[in-house]
Amino acid sequence: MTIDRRRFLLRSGLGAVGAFAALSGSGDADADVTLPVSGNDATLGPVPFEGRHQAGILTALPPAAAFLALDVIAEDRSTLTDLFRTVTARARYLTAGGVPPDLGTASPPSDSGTLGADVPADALTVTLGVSSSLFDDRFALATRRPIRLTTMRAFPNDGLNPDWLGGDLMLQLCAGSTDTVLHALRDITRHTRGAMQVRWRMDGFISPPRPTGLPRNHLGFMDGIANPDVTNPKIADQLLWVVKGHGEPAWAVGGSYHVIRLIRMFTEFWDRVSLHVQQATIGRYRASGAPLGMTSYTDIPDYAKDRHGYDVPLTAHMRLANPRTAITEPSRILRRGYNYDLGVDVNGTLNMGLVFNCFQQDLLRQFEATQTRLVDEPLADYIRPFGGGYFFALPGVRNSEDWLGRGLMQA
Amino acid sequence: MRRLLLHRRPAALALAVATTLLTTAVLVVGPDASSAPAGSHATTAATDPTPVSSLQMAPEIASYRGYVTQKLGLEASEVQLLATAIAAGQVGAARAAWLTAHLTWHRIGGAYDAFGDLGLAIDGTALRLQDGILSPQFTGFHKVELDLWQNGDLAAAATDTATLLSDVDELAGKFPHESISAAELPLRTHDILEDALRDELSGDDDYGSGTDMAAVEADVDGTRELLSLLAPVLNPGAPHLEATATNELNKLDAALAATRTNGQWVAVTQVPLAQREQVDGDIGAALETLDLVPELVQVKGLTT
Repeated sequence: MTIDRRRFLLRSGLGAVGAFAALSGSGDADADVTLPVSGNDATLGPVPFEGRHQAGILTALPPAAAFLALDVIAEDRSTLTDLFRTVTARARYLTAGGVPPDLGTASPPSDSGTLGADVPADALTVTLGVSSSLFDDRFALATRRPIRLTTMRAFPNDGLNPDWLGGDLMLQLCAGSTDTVLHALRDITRHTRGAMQVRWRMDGFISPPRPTGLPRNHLGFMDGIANPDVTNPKIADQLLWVVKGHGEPAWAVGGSYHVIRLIRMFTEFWDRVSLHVQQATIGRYRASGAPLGMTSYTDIPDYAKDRHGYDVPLTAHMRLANPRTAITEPSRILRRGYNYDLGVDVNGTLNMGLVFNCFQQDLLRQFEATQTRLVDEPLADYIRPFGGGYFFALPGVRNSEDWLGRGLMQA
Repeated sequence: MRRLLLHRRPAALALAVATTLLTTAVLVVGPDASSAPAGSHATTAATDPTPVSSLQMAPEIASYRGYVTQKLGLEASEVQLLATAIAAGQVGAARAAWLTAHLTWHRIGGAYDAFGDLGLAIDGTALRLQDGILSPQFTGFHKVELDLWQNGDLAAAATDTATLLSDVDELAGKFPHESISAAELPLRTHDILEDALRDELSGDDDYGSGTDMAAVEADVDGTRELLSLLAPVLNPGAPHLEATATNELNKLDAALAATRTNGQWVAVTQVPLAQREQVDGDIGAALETLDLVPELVQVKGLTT
């Protein structure tokens, strides 16, 4: 449940933000004016931290996110245990919000202060995953590796950059606004210095629906339309969660495999392509999000009737990704994509794209099968996957005594 | 070469299916969309295009085939000269021969996977390969570039040039008999410089020679060739497009030439910012014009 507390900053004149205000320029040099900030006034309530599964997987997508791949630099197993406990404690506090402790004048403040004196929850979720590299010989965890946890391979159209690959841990932070995400990021890294180090980081955002429907990506198309109904526990146990009886270690039950792919979009090139080609490449109308030949973004394409691809081309991204056949149904994934925007490249083109972000029960059966169908799709000309990795999102924290990774470390 | 969509929407403006030959392709030429004022890139879409007989495209395809075939012959002889210089242990001569041969490849319009797997073997980078420059699949011009400039390894350069020569020979033997879809020419007129912007002006495909600006210049040559080939088809519907594009390509060429220092090409990342901005801006402007070519010359593929 979220609480929508609205705050307005529409007053002008001297105020708390007066120090940053611009001069009005209309005569009275002593009068400060605070420029109103509009459309940035909602703070969301808390998302429960405890549960069978971690939050940030089934949770509704708030607009801001950061993805941090971290390397564990802790030297031994007990320090790694401390690291998991510390991340848990910080996540527990940050996701609930509240007034940070006053440490007095003898030490720096306990909190960065970037969210004010009373830290709002703002729908923050902290989702922690581990990669296959954590199961090397450093911590004697090799026998406990989730059996389907592999290293991300290069697919034929990838152009992987080592600067954006790897990491022992994945920290997914999602919240109602960017300052909340960055506050959590600073807090968690501050409390874990010497035990883990950020290897790469990508921030993401989700746009509001324009005008209605679902958010759009940088290609102008609504994204994340066709997700399986994982609110149905039966479907979630088939597609999303690691469950008993698949050969996985007992501690892994309740976790989920997490794939992140950093995908550059060549937006200048894309903008030079006709709408017809854009739509045929994706398989949907750009304006409405409806499958080609249909009227609403919620319409389900009938590929059995469109066998020759007269409506939705056989090579359209949407059709290859999810052909909607009985054979491909078990390969469906839960997507939680975020747009990214990262300045300009050396050639002056905009560096923007998608943090492709998905969760599933089985990497090979789901993400890799889907990605294999997409090899050499027409969309491949306009995008370039350049980083990311495979992770395993740990099972949830069950109660106030529990901590992330307890099952793994104490198994 | 951009991937063609397997789309067979009968009534709509559709791209050709790759396997469709000129036998049944129907050309659709739109109205003049190139008369926008200078400096503006209004994206006037082709509306209500007039279908033109597929036979009209046959001469252009024949000319293109002749151009590429002739250049592939030249390419083979230039790679042979490269092999000779390497065998003689002359690093300076080998580097010069490498550049000559590589620019010929770009003049062919070899950018952008135009020639499939053989094209990738000849001029692919290591970016797409799992093991990067260590991958055995990393071959061709850029591997030899790595050998000659970064590794100073003439023995590897000799081996890699032999592979390159054999791939060029294979392509030169095959190409005259390859089918060419009418849809490829208008797309490639736009794509060569898209490729140049993405892979060359980013410095992504520089393996030590620092000659990306020269490669872009050769890409401009290849683009001009395609533009003039298509002019008879473009001009009736878009009488100003060829002239507009030519002016923009001239500007781009001037900006590229200005990056040379004492007659030497300079690596993209070493070119002063103001000069780089001029090149990047000019190629962008040319692309905003060239992107109309595939819209104006739409080839409707009718499968047999």
